[in-house]
Amino acid sequence: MASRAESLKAKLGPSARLVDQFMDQTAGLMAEGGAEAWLSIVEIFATFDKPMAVRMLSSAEKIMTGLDDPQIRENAARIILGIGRPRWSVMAAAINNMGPFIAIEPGYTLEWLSHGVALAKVDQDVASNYFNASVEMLEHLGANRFELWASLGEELAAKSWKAAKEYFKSSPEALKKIEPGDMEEWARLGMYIVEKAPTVKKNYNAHSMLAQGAAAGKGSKMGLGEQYFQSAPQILGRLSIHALKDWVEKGLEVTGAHNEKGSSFFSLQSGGSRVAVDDLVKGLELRDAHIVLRSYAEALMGRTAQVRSSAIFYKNMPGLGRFFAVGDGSRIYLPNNLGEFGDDKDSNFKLFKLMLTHEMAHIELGTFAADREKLLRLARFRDQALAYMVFEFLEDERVDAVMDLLYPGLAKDKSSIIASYAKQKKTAGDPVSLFEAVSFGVEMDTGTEDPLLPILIAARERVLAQGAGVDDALDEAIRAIEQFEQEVDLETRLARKSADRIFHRGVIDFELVDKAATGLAAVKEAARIRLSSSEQEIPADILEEAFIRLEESEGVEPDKLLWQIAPTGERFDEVADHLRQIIDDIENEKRFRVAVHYDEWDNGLEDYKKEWCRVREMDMPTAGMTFYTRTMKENYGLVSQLKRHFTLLRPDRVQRFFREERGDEVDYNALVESMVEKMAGITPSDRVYIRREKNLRDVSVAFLVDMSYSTSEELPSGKTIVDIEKTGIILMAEALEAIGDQWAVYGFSTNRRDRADFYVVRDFDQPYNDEVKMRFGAMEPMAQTRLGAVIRHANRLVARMNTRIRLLILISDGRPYDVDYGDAKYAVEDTRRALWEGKRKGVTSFCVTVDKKSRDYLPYMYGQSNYTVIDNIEALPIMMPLIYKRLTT
Amino acid sequence: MTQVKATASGERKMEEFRIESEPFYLPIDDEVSLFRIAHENKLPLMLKGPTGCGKTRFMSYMAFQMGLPLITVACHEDLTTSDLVGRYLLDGGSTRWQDGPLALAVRHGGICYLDEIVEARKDTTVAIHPLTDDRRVLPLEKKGQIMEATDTFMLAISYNPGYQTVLKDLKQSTKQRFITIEFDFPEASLEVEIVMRESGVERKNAADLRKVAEKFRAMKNRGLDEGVSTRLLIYAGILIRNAVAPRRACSIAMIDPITDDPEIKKTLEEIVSSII
Repeated sequence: MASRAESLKAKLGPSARLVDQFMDQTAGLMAEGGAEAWLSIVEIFATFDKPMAVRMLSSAEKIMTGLDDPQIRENAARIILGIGRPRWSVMAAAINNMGPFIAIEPGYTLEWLSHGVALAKVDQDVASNYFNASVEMLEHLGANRFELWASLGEELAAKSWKAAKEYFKSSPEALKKIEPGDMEEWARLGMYIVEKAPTVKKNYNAHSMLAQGAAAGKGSKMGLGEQYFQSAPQILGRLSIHALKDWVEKGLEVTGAHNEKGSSFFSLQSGGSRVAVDDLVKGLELRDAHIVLRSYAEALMGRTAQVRSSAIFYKNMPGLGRFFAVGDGSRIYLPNNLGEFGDDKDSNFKLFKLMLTHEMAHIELGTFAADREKLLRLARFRDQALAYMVFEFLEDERVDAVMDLLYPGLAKDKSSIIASYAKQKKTAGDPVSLFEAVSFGVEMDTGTEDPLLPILIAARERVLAQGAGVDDALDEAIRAIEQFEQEVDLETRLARKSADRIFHRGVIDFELVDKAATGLAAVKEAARIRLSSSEQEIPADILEEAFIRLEESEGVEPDKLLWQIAPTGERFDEVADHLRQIIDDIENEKRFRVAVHYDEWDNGLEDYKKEWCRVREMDMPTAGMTFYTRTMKENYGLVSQLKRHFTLLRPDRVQRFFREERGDEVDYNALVESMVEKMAGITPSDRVYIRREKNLRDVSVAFLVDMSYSTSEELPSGKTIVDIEKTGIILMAEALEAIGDQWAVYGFSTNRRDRADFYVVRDFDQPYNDEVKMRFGAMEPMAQTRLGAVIRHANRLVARMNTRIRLLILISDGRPYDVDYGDAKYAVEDTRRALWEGKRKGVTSFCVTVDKKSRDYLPYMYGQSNYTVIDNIEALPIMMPLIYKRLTT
Repeated sequence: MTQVKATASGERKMEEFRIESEPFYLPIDDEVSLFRIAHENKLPLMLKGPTGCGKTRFMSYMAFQMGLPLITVACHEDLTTSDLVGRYLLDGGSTRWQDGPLALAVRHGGICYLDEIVEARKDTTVAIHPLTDDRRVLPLEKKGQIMEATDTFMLAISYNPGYQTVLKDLKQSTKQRFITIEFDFPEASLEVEIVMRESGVERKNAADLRKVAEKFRAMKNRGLDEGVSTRLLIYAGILIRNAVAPRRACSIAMIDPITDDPEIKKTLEEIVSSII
């Protein structure tokens, strides 16, 4: 052992003293064998990951003292060493999670490690994912269920390691959304899919090496199982476990018919699979109702309201069931799904609305401003839970009564909801609870009367009568419980049956309110300090806005609460990074006009991917007049020639129509004739006026300019492609101003599907002023060319114009491409589709390209006559006006 | 209130433009005295405010109070200068000059009120420029005359800044010729009074309508381009008075006219069903 320590010291160099420290303080904790094993592991890491080795030495003591028995300590170290050097990533995952794991459940350590070892034999990633998920899973499931979780994973790993990898990876998020008891069923469904997945043969070319030898003719199972587990967080919580089975069966059916469709079904990429999920959902989901609910809340309160799912509290509040609402003083959390009234969406919605209004009323009517000192007195009663519930009940009653006055319409709805709820309850034979009896004035059918009943009735009356505030309700609650404890002995009290909350009322949680306020303030302050640099302080309103967006970005079902994040540590770093990004976005958005989502056509699925791309429309920044003036100077002759030429195409501005029935002037020729006719005894014509009509060329045209990276290519003349494009556009602009057509210039550059940037250089109704001219200079090569999305957006903008001819001219230097834009065929098909959609909206498109190779796909993408390839790109500026003239006259 | 059809023939008596019975109007602020001052000092007046908040009603009220004829022109995009100023018409064997509504008011005195001026074409709006500075003249191009305004002539325009798009905005050179009274929806007690008076509903109903309107107006820029107007409240009131169920009346008169978006519509309906 000493020799091992020496060799380790040599490897660690400056950190060698940690080895001595370890030998002095920690080695003794885990007996000779354990310490030796530990040092061996450190040595493995010391060769390629020094920081890890150092961490292992310095944290060993803390980890090992968590375990009582030296024997267990030794075994733990040996098991980890047994994972083996080649699988060092698994060892690292185990060690990193060991401390936190032991802190929760030290007695289970060895089993925990053994599962990992078994998994590591199947695959490293599986085992790493297992270790990384394990702490959170242990917290969530407890030791017994954890064992089940791990063994299910092992069983799955034996069938498909890929599926197991996803199982462990998605578990922390997915399992929060279902009852722990449903876990096994969920996992077994995955195994079932793995077994049922069809085998597909690889299509190797006959001459490929792979087509011969051992792999020849061998097929592989489709990865449906892994997709199933990947999609789990999105589906669970929406579907009951029973409905999940139906969904899986449906997916397998789809797969049976079309292998490749199965894969997009289970990965939720096809429209069909989403529809299947939607169909299987029972009751009304918050995600479907929340837009209306939020606007409703905002209108009622007259300020921004945040409505969220209460599922996030689910795991922290056992015994409450799913069905509860709670407010934190500004946000309102509602149940994920309301199925109280089965598939009657209307009634379920009404219930949502009622719960929301009730929670809002708590905020508006000052519930959360209750005297905290006085609240503590509730905790001093022997039955403090009951005391709090009585207070909650009285406060709820107070708030509901005020609400009934303010919103008489809602009161009507409320009584009908309560009536049908009571009916259901009666049919089911559930007893009427104490609070229901008091509030609704119905009989409790328990036989003996609850001694609290008369006390409560009297207290309630006082709360309602005096137009009371929250502190009055609190006083009444205290008084009621005092009286109750005096009058009634303990036995009788405990015999009371049901004191459930009235079903539409949420929890009043002062701790949550206070913690949310202080926690959020701390996070905000920390974020302010982190994000502000010495030169630049982040303005408070921007930070506030960024926080709101951060929360919005989590959607209705957030998986973290901002105020719970400690102002230091990894999670905070994540939040800070995200905030920084949002603040940058806010900065950029000053130029933003809108962000719109578009579907994208997937040729493989033969279906649209819904809302797949986000197009961000923004104003092009300006960059000086230099480029414009230089272009004008260099092309002086051409510009004046173009102007003259195009002016000739311009129709007379005002056209005079003679011999009209009505008009501003008298047409004397017609008038004389008419007079003659009259004198001659013929019925005279009444068409004797001149009508003047403004005449416009009925054309609007948008130029869509490719600003992808490839346009930075330099040509023999020393200019880049984008320069040539810009020159062309500037010349066109002059010509268009001369002819009087309505025109717009847009530039685009995309970077993955959520950043298709669409720059407005000039929009149709903008004046052609210096600002626009300065924008030409700023058109620079940037990223990729996701044509489909930008064409869809351009179509939409052009389709607004109500001219007879609507034209979209695309100027591009190559084929559509983006990082996540599929293969060439996919991109071409999507672009073709987008153009076709435009045609249906009455937008004609035409492509001018300089890519000679594009002759292969252009006819297919644009149709035979809707494109032109310019062989000499330098000729583009001269060609464009000619092309334009040909297109519009 | 009488509107001029510019193409109609025959000289109109200014008497036709007098308001005969007192229109109902509840003054909200100092707009009545401001109007009088503007008239006495020959200042052109712009009324600015959301649609249906009482701008037009205020004009007829003031015209009645001051005993002036009121010529209202509802502007539209085909309104030409001739439509405002006048034109030659045939009359038997000769032609006859027909004053347009603007010329009529300039010649005989009275208020010419150009409602929703942004709707008119830009070249038409320029025609009012010489009338709105100290010259107070109207050139009759076709007659080769310049007509001076009588002392009681007053020009007023209305303008709803809610429509502000690049295409529909007044030129600065036009805007800066007017003093401006801003209008907004009246405060609760007044609006309830107005709705009761105009539609004949009970106070309770009027108060409910007002409460709904208040919540709707809070949604401006949160999905609604403009809040619901007093005029629509009155319509809803009229429906209620005619035995339409209140919730239904709100849908018909206050929700469907202002939004086509199904989600906003649902939100508004939920607000109504909470209050009524």
